[in-house]
Amino acid sequence: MPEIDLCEAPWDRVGLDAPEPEALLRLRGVGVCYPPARRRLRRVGEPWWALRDLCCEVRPGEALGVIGRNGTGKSTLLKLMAGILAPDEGRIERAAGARASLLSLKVGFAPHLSGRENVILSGLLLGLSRREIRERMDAIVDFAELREWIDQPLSAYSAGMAARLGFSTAFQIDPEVLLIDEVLGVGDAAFVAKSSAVLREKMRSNKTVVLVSHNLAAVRELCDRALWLEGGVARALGKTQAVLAEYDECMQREARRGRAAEPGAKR
Amino acid sequence: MSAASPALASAPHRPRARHTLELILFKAFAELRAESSRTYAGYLWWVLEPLFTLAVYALVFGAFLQRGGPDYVPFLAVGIVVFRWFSVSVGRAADSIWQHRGLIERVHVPKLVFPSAAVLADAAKVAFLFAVLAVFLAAWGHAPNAAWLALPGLFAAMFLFVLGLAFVFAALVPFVPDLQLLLANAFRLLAFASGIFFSISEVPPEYRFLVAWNPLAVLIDAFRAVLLHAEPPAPQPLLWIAALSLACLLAGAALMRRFDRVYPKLGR
Repeated sequence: MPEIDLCEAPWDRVGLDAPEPEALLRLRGVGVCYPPARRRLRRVGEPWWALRDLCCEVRPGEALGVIGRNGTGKSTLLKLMAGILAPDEGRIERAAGARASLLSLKVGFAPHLSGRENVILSGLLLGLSRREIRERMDAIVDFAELREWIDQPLSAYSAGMAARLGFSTAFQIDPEVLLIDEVLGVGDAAFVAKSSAVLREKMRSNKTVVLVSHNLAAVRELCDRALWLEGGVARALGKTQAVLAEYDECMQREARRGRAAEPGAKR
Repeated sequence: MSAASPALASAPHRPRARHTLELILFKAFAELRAESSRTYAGYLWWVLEPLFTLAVYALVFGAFLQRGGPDYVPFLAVGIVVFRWFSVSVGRAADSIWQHRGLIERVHVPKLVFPSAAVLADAAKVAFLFAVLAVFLAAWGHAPNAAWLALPGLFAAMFLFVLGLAFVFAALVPFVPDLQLLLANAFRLLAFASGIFFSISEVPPEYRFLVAWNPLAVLIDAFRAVLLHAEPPAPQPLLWIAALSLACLLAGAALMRRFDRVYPKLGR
């Protein structure tokens, strides 16, 4: 094909060309490598790089969207930022006191504990102290609308009620950098609206957020900048409009290619 | 690229020790709650299970094989309770990080929280079990005496021993899950090698080195000296065990710290 394939071009560094503002998180040539799977004592397969040589930063107050297909390292990137994983190459720099944590719903929830006990356990796991949890308990219970249920065991809750409690707890963590993996709303229809409203409100305010999503409309609406990951490497990083336009174009071209190749085998 | 601004530090956020302690304590409480509400008899099982073991051992070794003499049942009871503390705690703690592999993929938790909480939850059960044992021994004619003053030290040595091994195995099992099976078999052998149904002093001198070097056998012996013979235990072997346990504890903690961010990769 004579036309220039933008998809094959090296990723542009739109975001990095500007003079660097102070960043909360800065990734310098970061990569994450998973060990090969084990079968008995033999190792099968190759070590797998989920991310490779990634440079980007998260600026205070911005919302950074991360897009890309499944298995391109988006979730690994969030785990790296949250400090769950360490980089196997490159390094991560964090502004002093800048805690980044994943919006993890129902972490550590156990059916035999009461709702209140689950909030405490989940809150502790997510990094709050007992005192901080005590201070936020009322807000959590009220937001989840579970005032009469909070001292009942979680096993008595419906799935929707547990989801509400999980969201309310996680939402109260409020780290300096909030990492969101696809979750924009949970529970029944009414609570989906309520939870996504507070999240969107938070993102539009001065909150620093990294949002991984397949929902391009949400990324376009909420994010100032976007990062496009492909096969563990950054394909584009910059203003949301520009990155999404490039991403769209590439997807469409691939769809055309796919149609042209039909009924041929997949690559 | 410009130089990193001074506010940027390369060190990841480390949770404070106080927060880690709060987490360990509440996790231990949660495990106790979960376990007691999962079964009908709840807390009662912690006493019933060793009681069954005691009944079987007393029948086989005491009645069938005519061993031990009149004090054999309390002798067995002490051995069974101490061994149970060891095997249940270490076995459960060894699995603790691996068992929480789903959790540690979603949130960063200092990994020593898991074996610590498991051992602590078991210690609460053991305290209950020892209270029952004390009543049982008193009923058998072994009333509390001055030698019992050595018990806090003995409990501390035993707790340290259990926690040290728990740390080491918890740190290694995620890399070598087979260790868990190996442990189950090792416990079965240890039940014989630790003098639950015989005393170290009964072992012929040429074989005694086999049990005299087993810390668990020494600990069981010390508990018996205090509880059944009103003798304070010899401090030197216990100090050795404490030192060894501390070394295990530090090694385990160092391993868990070293691989803190590797464990979340092993679950897949």
